[in-house]
Amino acid sequence: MAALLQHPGYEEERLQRVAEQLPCREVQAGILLSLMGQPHQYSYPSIFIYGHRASGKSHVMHVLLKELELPHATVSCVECVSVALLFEQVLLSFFGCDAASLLPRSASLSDFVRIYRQQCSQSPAKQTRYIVMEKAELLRDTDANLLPALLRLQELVEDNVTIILLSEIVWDKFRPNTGCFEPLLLHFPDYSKGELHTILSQDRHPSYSDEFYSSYINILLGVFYSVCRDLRELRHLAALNFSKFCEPLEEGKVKETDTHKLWRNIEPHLKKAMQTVYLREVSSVQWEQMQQTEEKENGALRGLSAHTHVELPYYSKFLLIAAYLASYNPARTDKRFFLKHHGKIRKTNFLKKNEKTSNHLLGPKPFPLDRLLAIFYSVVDSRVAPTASIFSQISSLVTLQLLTQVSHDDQLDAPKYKCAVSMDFICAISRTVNFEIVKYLYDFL
Amino acid sequence: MSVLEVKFIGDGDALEHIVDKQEGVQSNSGSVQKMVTFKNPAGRRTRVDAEHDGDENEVLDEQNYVQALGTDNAEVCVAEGMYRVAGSSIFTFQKGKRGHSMAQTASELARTPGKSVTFSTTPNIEPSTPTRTGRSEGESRTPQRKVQFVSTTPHRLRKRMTTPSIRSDSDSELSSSDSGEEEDEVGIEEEQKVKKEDKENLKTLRTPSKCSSAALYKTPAKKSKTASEVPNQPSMIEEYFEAHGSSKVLTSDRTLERLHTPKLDRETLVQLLEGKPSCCSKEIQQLHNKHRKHFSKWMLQLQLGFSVLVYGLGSKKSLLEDFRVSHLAQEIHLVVNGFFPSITLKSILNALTCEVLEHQGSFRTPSDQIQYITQTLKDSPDLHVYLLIHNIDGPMLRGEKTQSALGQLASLPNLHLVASLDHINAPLVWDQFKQSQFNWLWWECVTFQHYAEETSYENSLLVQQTGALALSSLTHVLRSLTPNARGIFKLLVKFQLENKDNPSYTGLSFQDFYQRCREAFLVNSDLTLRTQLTEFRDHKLIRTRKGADGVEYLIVAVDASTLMDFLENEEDD
Repeated sequence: MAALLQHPGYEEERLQRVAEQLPCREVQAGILLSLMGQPHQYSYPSIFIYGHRASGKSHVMHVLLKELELPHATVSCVECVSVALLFEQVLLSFFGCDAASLLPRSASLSDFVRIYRQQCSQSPAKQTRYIVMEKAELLRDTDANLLPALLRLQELVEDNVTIILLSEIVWDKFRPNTGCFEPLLLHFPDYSKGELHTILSQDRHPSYSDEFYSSYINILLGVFYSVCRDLRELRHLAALNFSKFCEPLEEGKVKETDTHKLWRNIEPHLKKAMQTVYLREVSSVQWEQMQQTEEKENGALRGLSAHTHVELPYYSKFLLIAAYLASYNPARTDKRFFLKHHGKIRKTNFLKKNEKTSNHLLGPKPFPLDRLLAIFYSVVDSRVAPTASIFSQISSLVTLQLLTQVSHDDQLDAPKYKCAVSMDFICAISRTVNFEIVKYLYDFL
Repeated sequence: MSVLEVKFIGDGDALEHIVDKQEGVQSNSGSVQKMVTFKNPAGRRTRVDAEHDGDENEVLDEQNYVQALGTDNAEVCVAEGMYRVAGSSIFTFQKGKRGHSMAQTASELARTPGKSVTFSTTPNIEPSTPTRTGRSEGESRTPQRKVQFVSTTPHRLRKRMTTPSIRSDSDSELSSSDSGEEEDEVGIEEEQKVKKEDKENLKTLRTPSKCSSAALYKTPAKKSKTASEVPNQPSMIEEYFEAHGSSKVLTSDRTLERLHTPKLDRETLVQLLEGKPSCCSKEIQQLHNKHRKHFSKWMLQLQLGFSVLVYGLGSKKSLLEDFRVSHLAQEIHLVVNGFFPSITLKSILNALTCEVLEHQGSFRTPSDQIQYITQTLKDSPDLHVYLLIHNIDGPMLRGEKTQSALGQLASLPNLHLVASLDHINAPLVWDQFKQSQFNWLWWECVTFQHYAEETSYENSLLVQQTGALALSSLTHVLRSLTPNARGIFKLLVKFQLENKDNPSYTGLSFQDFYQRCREAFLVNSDLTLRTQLTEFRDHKLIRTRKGADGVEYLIVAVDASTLMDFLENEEDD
C-alpha cells in the first residue's frame, strides 16, 4: 500500500509515515504530492480542494504538511471575522511575531502584501510556503477583492507561495463576477462502505481481537449506513456503544465468535441510539450514564424536544391561540367561526375549497393586528380591556419568538404578524385553558 | 382635598367600566327611541330642546355640555378623594370612572346609536378641532328621520356604506368612501365649509345640530378603521368580522382631483385656522390647571426612579412645557421633539453627550455612546439629567433600536424621563423587558388642545408640499414601494452621496443610471426604469434636468445629511 506514495523530493520513510496515516486516501495524497513537486520548486499558485464533510480534506493536508515539514500556515476562515486577523495569522506563522506586529490596526490587503514582500526579501523562501484556508466558502462574504487577490498571491508577493482552499462547496459558487485566476480543482470523493469499515476498524479496543471489533463495525454500519455516512459521526457512535456490545461477553454468556447472538443483543440498542443520541436529543454523557445504570430504560429520559411546554400568562395563551387561528385559517372563514349569527353561508360553498392543500402544509400566513385582536376578543370568554399590558404581551410574544413580525415597515400603524408555534404546542396550550382549538381550525373541519 | 391620581388599571375595574358602559349603550338606544317619539324625560328634554330650537346659541350649547362634563369631573374627584380615605383603592381605575360618566352624558346626547359604543374616550371632544372628523361626522349628520332605520343593528355595515349617500343629498357633492385618510382630509375641508356656513345662516336648523353632534362623535386622534380594532364587546367583534368578511372593496371615484377648491399652502391654511378661537378655552384652561397640580408628584416619582408617561386626548406639549418651566428650570434637562420628522437616535445621544455632559469628540457606535453616558452618570451620582420627550411614539422614534436605547437610558438611576404618547397602538413598542427598563407610570392627561405643532410636519393631501422632504416622509414613501424600486432609488442616493463634495455634479445621466440598474438586475428594460422614475417624480423624490447635451440628468431633491440618515436606517433594517 505505502509503495503507492513515491516522490523524488522527499525521504522514503517520511512518505511511509504519511501513507500509514492516510488510509484510503493514497490516490489524493499522491496527486497532491505531485502537484506540490519538490520543496524548492514552484508549485501551482492555488489549489481548490472540495468534497463532502468528513472526507479527509483537512486531515490529508495537515498530515502531508506536518510530516514532510513544509512551511505552512493553516487558517480557519470561521475564526477570521476580519481580514486583518487572517493576515496576522499568515504573517505570524511564516515570519514570526515581529512581522505580525508590523501590521497597522485595520490592515488592508495592500498592507499585507507590502509587509509580506518586505519580510520575504529578508528571508527568501527556500521551500514552497503553503497557506491552507479551511472553510473557504466564507471568503465569499468578505471583501470582494480578497478572494481574487489570494488566488494571485504568488504573483503579488513574488514569492514561492501556494494557497490551498478547502471547501464543501463546488468552485462554481465561488467564481467572482469579474472573473479571477482559476485554481486547480481537486475532488475528494466520499468513502465507500468498505473504506469506512477499514478506517473505523483501525481504532480497535486493545483487549479484544481485530475480528471482534470488525464484526462490531459491520453491525454498526449495517444499522447506520443508510442515514449517515459521516465518518466522525459514525466513529463517535461506535465509541459510545461498544461497551454495550461487549456486555454479554464480559458476563460470559456468549463467546467472541458468536456473532449472531451479539447482533441480537445490540441491534435494538443501536436503533434507539439512532433516535436519541444521533439527533442530540440525549447528550452523550447522559447516554453513557444510562448504559451504566441500566435500570433506567433508554428513552425513559425525556429528550430536549420533549420539553416543549412553556408556562405563559393567561391572556398570552389566548393571544397565542388567536394568533394561531389567524395564521392558519383563511380570513373569509372568520365569520363562520367567530360569529354566532353568521348568516347564510352555504355549506357546499364554504367547504368547496377543502380539496385544496391544507393550510398546515403551506405554513402560517401573515395577519394584521386588528384581526388578531378581534379573534382574541371572541375567543376569550371574559371581557378584557385593551390595556397597555395586552399590547405589550403581544410584543413580548414576538420577543420570545412565538410570534414573528412580518414586515418591519411600520411598527405601530398596521403591524403584521405570523404565528411561529407548532400544532402540538398550541394544542397543549389550549388544553390548559380548556379551549378546543381543533373545532376552530378550518383544516380539521 | 388631595386628589389621588395614580392610575393602575386593574382588570376588574376595567371590566366593570366596560360593563357599565354597555348599560350606557342600552340607555342610549332607549333615548333614541324616546327622541323619535318625543317622550323625553324632563332632564333630557331640555337638552334636546336646546338642540332643536336653540340654533342661534350653538356655542352656548356646547359650553353647557362641557360644563356638564366639568361638574361630573368634580364629582368624581370628590369620589376619588373618598376612595383614598378608604385607602383600599390605590389600584383602581379612577379616571376611567370619570370617563365613563362622560360617556354616559355623551351617549344621552347621542343621535345615532352604535357609534358611541367604541371607546371610553369617545366623547372627549374639543368641538372646534378641525382634524379628523371624517366619517363619524358624516354619520352623526344623519337626519333625524333616519334614526329609526339606523338603530336596527344587524345590518350596521351596510348602513355604514349607505350613509354617504344620505350625506351627499344634504349639500356637498363629496361622498365619503369607506377608505381611510383621504376622506378624513375631505372632512377637514368639509368642516371648514360648514363653519363658514354656520356663521352666515345661523337660522337654518340643520347645520348647527350637525356641528355639535359632529363634535360629539369625533374619535380621538385615530382613524376610523382602528375604531373596530379595539372591540371590547361582542358587537364590536361582530362588526369587525362583518366588515372584513367579504373581500369586496368599495372605492369611490370621487377623488381629490374633483375638488373645486384649489390646494392651499401651509401659510394660507394657518391663516385660515387662526381666526377660529377655541370655544371652550376657559374649560381647557381649567383642565390644564388641574393637571398642573400633579407636577410636584411627578417630580417625586421621577426621583423615586419611575418614568412619567402622559397619555390622553389632545396635545400634551404645552403641559410638559409648563412642567419644564415650573419644575425643571433649575435642573439640567433635555427636550426631545419626537414628532419632528428628521429626529434620529444619534441626534438625541449627541445632544446628551455634547451639550449635557460636555464631551468633545465622536463615538463609533450608539452603544459606545450609551456606554459613555452610563459611565459618566454612574461616576457622578449627584448629576441629575431630565429627559423630556414629546411623542415618544413619534415616527422616527418607533424603531426597536431607538426604543431599546431610550430604555437603557431610562434605567439609569440619575437620568429621569418624562414622555408623552399619542398613538393608539403605542404600547406595542414595548415588550416586557423594555417596560421594566422604562418603569413607566401612566398618567392620563386629557387636554383637548390642538395638535398644532405635532401635525405641522405631517403630510396632508390638501396642503401643498413646501421645501425638501423630511426623513420620515422619505421613508414613508419608500416603504410603500417594491424592493426593486427601493434598490433603484438607493442606487441613485449612493451615487449622489459619493459626489456630494463635487460642486460641478449635475446628477446622474439617464443612460448611465440605466446601465447601473441593469447591472444590479433591478430593471429589465428602458421602459421599466422610466416608469419607476415617473413614480419617483410623482412623489417628488427626484428631479430631472436637461443637460447641455440634451441628456436627462437625475438628482435627488433631498439634502445630503437626510440622505445619509436614510441610508443608515435602511441598512439597519
